Parts: sequence; structure tokens; C-alpha cells
Amino acid sequence: MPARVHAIIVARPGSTARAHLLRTLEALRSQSTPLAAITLVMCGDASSARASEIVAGSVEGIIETRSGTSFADAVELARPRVLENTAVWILAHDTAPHPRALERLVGSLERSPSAAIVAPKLVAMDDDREIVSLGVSMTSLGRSVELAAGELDQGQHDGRDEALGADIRGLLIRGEVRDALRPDPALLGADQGLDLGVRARLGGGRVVLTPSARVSVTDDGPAALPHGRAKRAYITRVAQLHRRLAYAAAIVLPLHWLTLLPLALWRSITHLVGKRPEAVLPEWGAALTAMFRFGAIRRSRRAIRSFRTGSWASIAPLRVSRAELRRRLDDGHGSERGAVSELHFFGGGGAWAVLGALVVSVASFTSLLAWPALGGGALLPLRSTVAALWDDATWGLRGVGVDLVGPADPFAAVVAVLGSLWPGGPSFSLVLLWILALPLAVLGGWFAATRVTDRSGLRIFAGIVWALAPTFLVALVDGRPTGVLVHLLLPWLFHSAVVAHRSWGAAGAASVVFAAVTACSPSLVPALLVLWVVAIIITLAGRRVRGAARLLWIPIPAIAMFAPLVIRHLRTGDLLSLLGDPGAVWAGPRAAADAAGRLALATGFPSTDFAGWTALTGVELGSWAGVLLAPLALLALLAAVAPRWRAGITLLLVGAAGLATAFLAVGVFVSFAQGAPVAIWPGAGLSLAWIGLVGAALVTLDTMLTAPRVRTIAALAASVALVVCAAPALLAFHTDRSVLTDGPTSTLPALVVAQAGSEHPVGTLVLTPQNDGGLSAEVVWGASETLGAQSTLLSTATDIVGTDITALSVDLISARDFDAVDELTALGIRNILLAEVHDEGDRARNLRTSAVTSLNQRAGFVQAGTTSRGELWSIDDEITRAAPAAAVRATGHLVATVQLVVVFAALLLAIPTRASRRAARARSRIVGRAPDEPLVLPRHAEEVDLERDELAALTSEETSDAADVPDATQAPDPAGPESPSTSEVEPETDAGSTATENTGTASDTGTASAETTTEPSDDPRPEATEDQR
Amino acid sequence: MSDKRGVRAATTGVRMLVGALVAAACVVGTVLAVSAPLPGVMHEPAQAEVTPLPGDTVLVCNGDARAIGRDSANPLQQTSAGSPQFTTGSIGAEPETTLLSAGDLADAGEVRRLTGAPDDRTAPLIAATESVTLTADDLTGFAALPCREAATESWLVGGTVETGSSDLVVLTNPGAVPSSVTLTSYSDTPGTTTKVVPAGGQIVVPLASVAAGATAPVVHVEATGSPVRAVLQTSLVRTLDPVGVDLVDAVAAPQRHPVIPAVQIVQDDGDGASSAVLRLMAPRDDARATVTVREIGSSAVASTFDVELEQGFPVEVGFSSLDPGMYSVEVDADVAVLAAVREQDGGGPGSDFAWATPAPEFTDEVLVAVPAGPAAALYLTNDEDTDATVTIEATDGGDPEQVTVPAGSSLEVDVDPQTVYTLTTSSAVHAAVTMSAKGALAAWPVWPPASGENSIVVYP
Repeated sequence: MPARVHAIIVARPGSTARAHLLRTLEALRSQSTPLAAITLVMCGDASSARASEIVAGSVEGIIETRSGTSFADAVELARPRVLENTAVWILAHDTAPHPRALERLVGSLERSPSAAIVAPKLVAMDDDREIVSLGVSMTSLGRSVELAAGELDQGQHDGRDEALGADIRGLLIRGEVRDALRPDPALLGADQGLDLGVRARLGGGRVVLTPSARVSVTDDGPAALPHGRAKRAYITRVAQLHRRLAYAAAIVLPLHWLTLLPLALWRSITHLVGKRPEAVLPEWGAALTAMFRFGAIRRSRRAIRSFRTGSWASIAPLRVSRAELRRRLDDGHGSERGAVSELHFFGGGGAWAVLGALVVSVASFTSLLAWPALGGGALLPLRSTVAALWDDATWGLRGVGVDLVGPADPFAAVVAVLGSLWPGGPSFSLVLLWILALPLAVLGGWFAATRVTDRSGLRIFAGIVWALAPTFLVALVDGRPTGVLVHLLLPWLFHSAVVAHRSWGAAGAASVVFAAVTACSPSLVPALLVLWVVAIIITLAGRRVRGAARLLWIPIPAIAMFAPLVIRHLRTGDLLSLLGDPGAVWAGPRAAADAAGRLALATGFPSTDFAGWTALTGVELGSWAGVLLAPLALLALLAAVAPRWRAGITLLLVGAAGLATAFLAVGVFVSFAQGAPVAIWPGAGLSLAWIGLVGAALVTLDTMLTAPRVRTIAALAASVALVVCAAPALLAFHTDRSVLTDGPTSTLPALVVAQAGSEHPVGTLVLTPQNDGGLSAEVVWGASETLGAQSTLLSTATDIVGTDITALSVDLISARDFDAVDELTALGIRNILLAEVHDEGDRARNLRTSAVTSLNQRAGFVQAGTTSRGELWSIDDEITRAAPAAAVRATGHLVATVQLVVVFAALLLAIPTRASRRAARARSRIVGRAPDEPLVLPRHAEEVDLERDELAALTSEETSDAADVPDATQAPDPAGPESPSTSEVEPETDAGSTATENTGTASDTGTASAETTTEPSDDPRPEATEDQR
Repeated sequence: MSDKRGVRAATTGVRMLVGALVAAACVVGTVLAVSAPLPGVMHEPAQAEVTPLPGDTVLVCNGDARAIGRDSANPLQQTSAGSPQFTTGSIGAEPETTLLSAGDLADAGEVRRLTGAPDDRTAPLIAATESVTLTADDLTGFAALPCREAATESWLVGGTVETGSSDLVVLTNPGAVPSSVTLTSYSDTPGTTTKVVPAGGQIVVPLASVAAGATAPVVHVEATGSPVRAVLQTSLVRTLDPVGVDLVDAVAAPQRHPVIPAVQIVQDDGDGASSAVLRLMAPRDDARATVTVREIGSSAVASTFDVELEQGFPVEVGFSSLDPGMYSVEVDADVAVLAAVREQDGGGPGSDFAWATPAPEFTDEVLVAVPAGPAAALYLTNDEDTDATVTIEATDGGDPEQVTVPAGSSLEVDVDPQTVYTLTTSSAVHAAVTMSAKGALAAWPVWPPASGENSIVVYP
């Protein structure tokens, strides 16, 4: 006698669900084997179901329950209505069995006495040749693995008759065991069928697959996993962890419990490396949820124990093996289509350009090589140990000010990273930075250019133009570390940020560089935020929400780095102070906030000495140096009408944002150098503008000037003019117009250095009489004033911060008779340095001489000699700074931890993986390519000769060797240089099979690219990156 | 087909137009922004104005004028040539007067030390000036010198070591510990001498022993241990006739912009000696100094010339082209320099000379004591950009006189001898006092109280 079967249908309200339900009921009615009864569980309003005649005619009862009821609970509600010895068929409103499904399921049940559960083959509702699920297994660590999901049904799995588990939908559970094998609601809807299968197996039963019984399902029914990635990740992870806790032997249960959080940490890291940042929070949520559901764990364990007869070893044969897993995960990489041309950094001459720049750099800054440290301008030594460097980068006692406790400037972290590159003598890393600045700028410019052009010659052009930017050279000659760093980092920000919407890897890299750029120059933040908002709007206009989400990540690490500082400034109510330049504030030459100054800025020079031209040719002639940049500016403006005009206009917007920043920066006086207001350095804004200018010029050269000769001449004219423009700055070091000095390794006298040893916090009060009759009083801790120890809390302070030492300072240099040693000891200050202001005037000198008289007469001070910086007095006693309070250290640790976690996450995201590299390679490197634009393809070897002249002409500026590189990538020009009148046509026939493939990409690109400037197309495989494991 | 082409041409046209507009907007926007008044932000630095707590005000007077070599048997024997007349006044607590030892000076008079203790955290204002008229065979003339604070660093600009001169460097140590004083002579033959001045004592060093062979000596006086007061007593005998005596006060430090408010140019007797000579020296670096001479009461430039100075070499420049009268002399140098002017009324017997040293600027209340002697006048120079209003009031009563010193100009105010005046100014001015009659000439700058009285702006 065939088993009686009672079907339980779990349904949700709604019009679509209702249509599905009717279809399911219809399918049940037309089964070849009749059902004993059907119970409908309605999770939500059941009135429409009750009203329906079809429903009323089919079911024996309708149970109405809350809309939030889980699938397992809903099934449980219907269970009492099932008669004894009746098998239960678990269905949902969207599971429509094929007519003979039940017959075959029941048949399997009869044929296999050991079968506790019989599972059908689930196929897609809209395409019944696609397998949705046929058997589920798990790995040795308990992760569930679908055995056939997503495959095209060619009968390849029909021979399989047993699995560890199966999808819960369509399961037929034998009547004798149905009370023991109830779906576990603690699994939250995932892996329920697998769990049933495992428990059945432990009770001596089997899960028998019946591939011939097919059930059509949709992917959004009540028993399916949710669609949201985060929610799905949460549910599957909770289910896996819960199963682990339920299956584990009682002895190892505490161990498993203890490993949940460490595992969550480890898996978060792998999620980030695997570019799945959306899975990180669910991971932690799942771990915490699984940890503290003690009742659910007890219930699940009891359910297993009560039914279990066999040993866990009986599960093992059905687990998926490691080898099988590997075969399953082999997603056939290397077979992807649309591979874009190689980078050709070495082949295209980029490496030669970098080498050439190194030679120019060494020739320009020859004696730097022998210097142990760099001084002059805004340069200061670095701390002498790596530990002290990082100490300066964390929240706590600052290295300046009496007892200033507060957040570190993010720039201190940049300095710490820089100094850590040469741990033996961190100050030397600045020398290295200066020597390598030009080649690194060429490198950065070259890579940034890969986002605009595929032509090797133009990339080299971009590298050279980027390195010879007047603002960069002025920053080098004037000793401005923040300006140099910003200029070196910006091309990498451009390189990664313009593709940040495409992949998490690029977004992660962009976010790290963004944090570094803003740390070096907070004044760029407004402009960068404007560009960021524009990018998000463009991305959203293309309806690429996921891309916009990736863009949203970009400022997060910078926000984490700046948050403590912002909170501090919010408390004092002056957010504008945040714009102040970090590091040493130096009132060096810069354009003034008047028409003449802004004219210099508009022509690309951050100061009115026009990068050395006024010194060389006089003010009259030197002011015209900007004319040399005119060819470049002209090319940039043409980008607005170039075929790739969207990219051109966006780049012009970048340029405008940078120029506006520079214009406004020179009028913002929020930093002070010994009481004198100093405007923000406009060079950072000019560097940003330079990105726009060079990028736009490249767009014009790449897409508009199609005749090779015209392009060569234009690029040559622009670069020759720029090289001429840069000459005075490059020669400045040898003509003594540079402020760079050899060291000193410490700005304090040698006695203080000796007292401080290796970063012992010895306090030195530096008193500097000012030319206006005032007195600057600073406290320096350690062996020297250092770049990383500077704090914008102090340099932008408009009120006295920390302990007020103004009265003490004046008392020290006045005739007042008091116990000065005692008061200084209380502050931890051991030395007093009476420094001489640069270019000392009469009033400063008067004050200084009278101060010398007073200090000489003070009891308890030892005159420790005169140094180049000034005269030093020392207290002959071991006096050290009070250690910070425990609360300060605790806050410091907390802030540092949060910042580290965010930056670490960004770094993990930025790590390239095989999958992410492959995904990136499948897309054009160029962003914003216009649909009707010809592609630049790799050439065949025989075409190289034709292009050699052009390349040689273009690159002879710095890298004469570039043309000799055999496989240089250059635009194929079928007509050749001999007939320049022929415009460049895409040579599909010439380029052969590669061309055909690439044109395929181009046509994809073309169809959907009406919407954007930074992104030509919707990704033809939008999930390509994310779905890779 | 043609439709499609038409649409395409239209879109290209629109695209070109938009592009051209964007490019034009970039250019126009930049040009406009260059000349537009863009907003700016100007924060005030953290600062505190601190008035230093004053210590005791200690003024040191010079004491008797000295004569050397009157005893031919003992040519280094010094004797008192005359005791000065003393004029003093104070605001606040009455200063305590103590006497210092004049060392080896025979029949020495009083060497006064005036100590004013601060009262209610403000230092008293004290002014005291000594004047002496000499009519001996070897010394004639009139000299006046204010009593001033001792200093660790002083510069003596003046005097000569030529034949007939008997110039003396007088060092007074008002302190409680001996002071070791290093005298460095700047001239073509530089030399260094170190002397110890006993606590509360006065010693004398002949200038000739410090600056032997110098044509225009400048002496740097550095005291360690305790500050000292350095004064140069200079006198000259031409053939057998004494032609004047003066007490030259020390200059505190080299300055980039020394101002000498009162220089008297007297009719030249025709003996060839230039009436007034400016002595300049740049102690640290080569300098280029521009000297500007203006007549008192006028902002017009009477004479201006440039002087190139080699580091460490004093240079003398004459003013012979000027008409007789009162002038102010301003020096503008690119590095700090020392300056003083020697003025002379005639060249023969019965004449006198005086050294006028730069006057520091002052902004607060200053007390000036005019000693007994010939007709006195106060000269005020304003080298700032705004007019200064100065109130002059005698401390013994009388109506206050208010004068306005125009920017870039100067002013003369007659004052009475043996009177103490209070000067209150609205902005920074330089001031000097001269006393002159036939054969009697003295000039000295008005010094503000030692630093520490004025509040100091501190930038932490």
C-alpha cells in the first residue's frame, strides 16, 4: 500500500505569491498520485486565500499566522494536522511539482526502506532545464555545498541517488520519522534540508534523491534564501555556526564556542581580501548570534540526541571531499573574454622614462646623496627611532606644547610610514624622497595616464609633464614635504579612484591614497569631496548602485584618521582650522591673495618667483614664464570638444576644482609660525589642477589629434616648452637658489641631543624674540623638533592650549625674582633655548639681549653655550616629562585601534587577488571611452618600424632609448607617417583575431555608454568580480 | 538614412557647442577669479599680553670727571677733575641712594647708585642726570650724562686715541659680585683686553690701551658675572689748548635703523676741522647703510648718502656740506650697525664737543632729568607713519605742554635746566636732549626704562 502523503504548503500573501500558489495547487491536483490532504499555512493575511474557491476546494485547512513566521515554524504549525503514519511533503507557494513528481517520490520511498527523506530535483520555474538544487552536502568543516545547483540539466546527475541532504523545498519525509525530523527554526532558513539529512543519517535513515521527480521553484519563495547579499551571508553563516555547535561533541563544544570570534576576525580578513566587504558585518553578527542562543543550541542538540542511533562516522562518506571541492571551484579562469592589452610598462618605454628622471634628479640634487638629513624650508628632521615615529602618530601627549594631550595629525602617520622605510635613520628617508621624487612622479604620471590613453608615447609624455609641474619643482626647491608628497600621491589617487566604482580592490586602494593625500594637505578636502560627489552622481545616473557603494567607501579611512581631530575642533568651534597645513608651518614664498598672486597661480606657479624665472631673468621677463605652459593649456581646453568629450570635460572640472582651491587657499590664514599668520600652501591645489590639465591634454592628444604627425608635434611642443619652463627650478640647487640645507639632524643644541639620547622626553623651552617686539614661546620634547611631532592643534590655535606658559616665559627673561627652576621642573622642562629669529630686527635684538642678561643672572641655570640657533641654559638635574595618565593611554589605544582597523580593512581590500586581477583585465584600462572612438591595439612586430620615427621624436626629451624597445605599443596607423592626410581608421582587418575580440568589447561598450563620463558601460558581467571566490 | 545622418550632424554640432562653451567658461572663469575679490579667512594667533613683574630699578651714575697725567711724576695717576651737579626725579617710591667706590681715584666725589624698589608690582620711574663744567688747563668744556642701568653688553662708539686725547673707559659695577669685563676694540688693529671690576666698584681703562692705533675706535664691552655700566670720557687738547670734553654713553646694541634725533652743526671756524662727523661700524656683516639727514622741524631731506661698510671696520663720514643748525640723522642699514655723531662748536680754545648716540624709540611714559647747565632743548623725532602726540610736563608743577610730532619729521622743545620732565607719547618716538652755549655742548638720548616695563605679547 502506497504511503499516504500530506502536503504542507507555506505561503505568503501578495498578488504574485497568490498566482504562484494557485499554480502550485493546480499542479498538486494534477498529480498522478493523489494526495491525502493539503494544509496551507498562510504567513500573513489569509482572507484572500480563504475567499478563493480553488484554494477552498484543494486544501483541508488553512492556518493563518504572523507574517514574520519562519518557514520551519510554519511547517511546525501544520504538523498536528497530519495523521499518524502519513508522510509529509514540504512545499511552498512557489514550488510547483511536475505531474508525476509525487508518484516518483512515493515510489522511491517504497523502494528504499532505509530512506527517511526523499528529495526531488528542483528546477527553475522559468527554465526547467536549469537545476536549482539536487542534493546538498557539506565539507569537513561543515560548510554546505550545493552538488548541482546552477547547472544545465542534461541528465548528468540523474544517476545520483543519495546525498547527505537536499533543499528543504519538495522534501518528502517518511511518516514514521517525521516527528523526529522537524526543520530546525534556529537555522533561520538556511541549510534546513541539509540539517534534516544529517539528522536522518544519524538516525539510521538515508536521503534518497529522485532526479526524475521534478519540482519547479522560483528563487524568491518563502523557503528560498533572501536576495540581499548581507542578509544572505548572515543567514548562511548563522546556520553553519549553529550546525557546528549542534553537531559538535559535548567535550569540544566550549572550544568551538571560543573560536567563534577569532574565526569571525579571520573570515573578515578573508572577506576583505576576497573583495566582499559587505559580508564582514554579517560575519560578526552571525558569530555573536550563534554564540548566545544557548536555548536554541540545547534544543537542537537534544533533537539530535533523541533520534541518533548511528555514529558520526556514518556521515563521513557523504561529505564532499577536498579534491571534489577544488574541482567544483575551478571556474575555468583564463577562458574569460575581452582581455585588454598588456600594460607595457617596460616594453612601452615607461621604465626608461623613470630611469631618465632618476638621472635628471641626481644631476639636479647631486650633493643630497651625501647628506644624512634634509633641512631648510618646511623640512624638519624625523624622530630617530621608528617607535617614536609611531608614537607621534597616535592620540596622546603631543611632542610639542607643555602638556598638550590630543589627537595626532594624520600627517604624522604619513611621516611615520615614510620614516619606517629607513628604520636605521628615519631622517634619511626624506633625503631619499627628494632624490627619488622626480622618478616617482614620472612613474605616477605614467600610471595615471594609463586611465586616459593606451599609447605608450603619450603615457611617457604624461609622466614627464607630471614630474615637471612647476608647483612640484617649487615644492622640491623650497623644501615643502607636504607639497611633494601630495604631488607624488595624486596620480595614484587618480589611477585608482577613477575605477573605484568597478571593483572593491580599486576602491580600497583609492581610499588609502585618499587618506594619505588629505593627511598631507587637508586644504584639498573640499575640492576632493566635490569631485567625489560628482563621481557618485555620475555613477548613480548610470544606475550602478553597487559602484556608488564602492565610491562611498573612498573617504572612510580618511574620516577615521581625521575624526579625532574634527571632534577636537568641533569642541573649540573652529572647523576652518582643520584646513591648516600640517607639519612645520613655514612662511616661505607663496603667491599672495591679490591679483598678481592669483595670476601666478592661474599660470601654474605657486609663488610669484615663477619657479626661479624672476631670479634668472628679472621680474619683468620672469613673470611671462607662464606662457611656456600655454601649449599644454591649449591642448587641455580642446578636450572639451574632443571625441571623448565627457572625460575631457570631467578632467577640466578637476582642473577647475584644483585652481579654485589654490585661489582660495592663499587667502586662508589659519596657521601661525611663531605668531605670524601663514596662508595655506596653494601648491597642493595646483597639483590637483595639474591632474585635470594633463589629463585633458592627453584626451585631446589621444582622441582628437588623429594625424600622428600633428599629435607628435603638439606633444613635442608642449613638453619642450615645459622642459624649458622647468630648467631654472632644476638648476636652483646648483645656483644656490634652493633653501635646502644639509641637516641639521637636530634643530636643538647638541647638549639637548645628548640629554635626550634616543628619544628620551627632555623638555626644551624655545623662546624666540620676534621682530614685532613679541616673544614666541614653544616647548619641544626630545632631541629635536621633528616633522611628525608638529601638531596643527598648536599651529592653528587661536586660544592658548594646554598649560599657559606665557607668564612663565616672560618672567624668565624679566627681573622677577622667583624659583624658576622649581616651576620649570614642575612642567618637566629642563632646557631653555633663547633663539634668534631669522632676519632679526632691532626690537627683537633688544629683547634678546635683555633676556640674555636676565637668564644669566638666574640661579640654578647653567649657561650651556651659544649655538647656531641661539643660547642655551640648562638645569643641572634629571628632569623628565610626566608620563601620560592611564586614561590618556587608554583613549590613545582605543583611537589607534579603530583607525588601524579601518586602514587595515582598506589595505586588505586593496590587495589584488587572482580573481580581482582577472576581473580588472577584462575591462578597458581607459575610463570614459566614447563609443565611436577607435581602439588602440597592440601592433604586430612588423609595424614597429613604421612608428619608430614618431616614438623617437616624442620620447627623445628624457628617454632616448624608448624608441628602441621592440614591442612598444602604439596606435596602428595603416597609412603610416608617409601619408598623414589619411585619418586614423580602426584597422579591423589588419589587426587580425585580437582586433576582432577587442572590437567585441568595444561594441559592448558602445551600446550602453550614453550615460557617463567616467565609465563607458554597464559591466556586461556585472557580478564577475563579486562572484569569484 | 538621411534622417540618421541629420541627427548625427545635429548631435555633433550640439556637442561641439557645449564643449566650446565649457572651454570658454574655464578661461573666462579663471580670468574673472584672478581679479575678483575672493573671500579669505584671517585667524588671530593664540597670544597673551604679559606685563613682566619688575625687579629693582638700579641706576648707576658716573661720578666725578677724571683727569689723568696731571702729576708728571706719575703720569697714570688719576685725579678728580670736577664733581658733577646732580639732578634727579622720580615717580613712585623715592629711590634709595647708595655710594659706590671710585677705586683708585684721588679725592673722589660720589659715585651714586639709585635703587628704586617696585611698589605694588610697578617699577618706579627714576631719572637722574649728572652734568659737569670743567675749566682747567687741560680740560675745558661741558659734559652731561644720565644715570642708567648696567648691562652685560655695551658698545662705546666715540673717542679717539690721537695725540692730545686722553680718553678713558669708565666701568662701574653696581652688582654684588665682581664682573669680568672683556673690551674688544674694532678698528684696523683689533685688540682685546679683559679687566675685573670689583663688586660695587669703578675702574678706569685708558682707551689708548684698548684701541691702540685705531683712528676711529669702537669698543665692545662684554660683562660676565655681573652687568656693568660703561662710559667713555673723552677729552682733547689741541697743541696746548683744551678743546672740549664729553661723557659718551654706551650704545646697547647694533641696530638696523639707528636714529640720532639731535645733531648740532656749528659754523666752521675755518680751521679745516669738519664740524660734525658720523662714525659707523657694522660689527657682524658687511653692510650698506643709507644716511638721511633732516633739518629739525622739517620732513624734507637735507642730505642723504650711502656708505659701504666692511665688517668690523669703523668708518667716519663728515657732514661739512650742511648749513649750521639742528638736524636729525637716520641710518638705514641692511644689517645691524653702530652709529654716533661727533659735533663740535668751533675748533679753537674755548670750544667744546659732544658725541650724540642713537636714541631708542619709546612708547610709554618716560622721565627725563635735565641737569644744571646752559640752555637745554628736547628733540623729538618720529620716523613712524602716524603723527605722535607728546605731552611734556615738569614734575615740579607747571602746565603740561602738548606737541604733535608729524610723521617722518621732528620737533624741538625748549626745556629748563635742573628740571625733571615727564614725557608721554601716543606712539613711538625717539628723543634726545642737548644743552649748548658757547664753549659748552652736551647731547644725550632719552632712554626708556629698562625692558620689562613694557608688556610683551607672547605667542605660545
